[in-house]
Amino acid sequence: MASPPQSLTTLLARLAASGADFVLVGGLAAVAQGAPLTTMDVDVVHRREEGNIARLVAFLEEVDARYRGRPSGQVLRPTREALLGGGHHLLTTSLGPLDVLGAIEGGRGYEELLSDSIAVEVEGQRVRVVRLEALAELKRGATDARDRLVLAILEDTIRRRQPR
Amino acid sequence: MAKHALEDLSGAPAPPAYGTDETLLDLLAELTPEERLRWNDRMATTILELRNGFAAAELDHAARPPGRERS
Repeated sequence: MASPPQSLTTLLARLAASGADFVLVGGLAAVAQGAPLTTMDVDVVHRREEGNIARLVAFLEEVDARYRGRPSGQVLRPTREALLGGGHHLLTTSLGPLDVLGAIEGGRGYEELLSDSIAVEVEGQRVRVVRLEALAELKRGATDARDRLVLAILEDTIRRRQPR
Repeated sequence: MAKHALEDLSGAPAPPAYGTDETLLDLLAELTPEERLRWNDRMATTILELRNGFAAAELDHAARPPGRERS
């Protein structure tokens, strides 16, 4: 297999070029806006509408997407039916790991997140990234210890970004 | 964000309460030290490219009148 590209922005740019609607969330969205966190994968929330799912499935086939965490030799690929639901699809692709999420905290989906996102250009493609303030808001209702820790870091990052 | 693998589809173990993505940990555990370093380099490059994109978007936003953000 060919080496993966040097940057996961290629994965984001190719996904955007496929015509699939999505927003970037999670650790990469936070780190990109200055939060001192570590992140190792790409998390996106996709629009769960038939036409968009068809574009997303075509893209995922193109990059040989398959579920992570499967027993060796057992390949399972994401389907249209699965992607129409609100579940989380933790995938590996030829361009890097990609988590395709139907909905995140509080059941928020693509439509709810879109208004709290900013368009960023990467490799000539416009990618919507959820704003830091919205990422923090998502964490405020979390009970998970790790999420509470991330919330504290996001809030500190937001405070530091404000003009003093 | 606590991510949950689709246990019925992926066969992955249920995530622990603190939300670690064990499928990603397994993926990283399979890498050699050199591959892990390359992975870190990839993440660093990714973050740098996205931050450059943000800086450009913020400049663009600042240059526009209120309510005229590009979609």
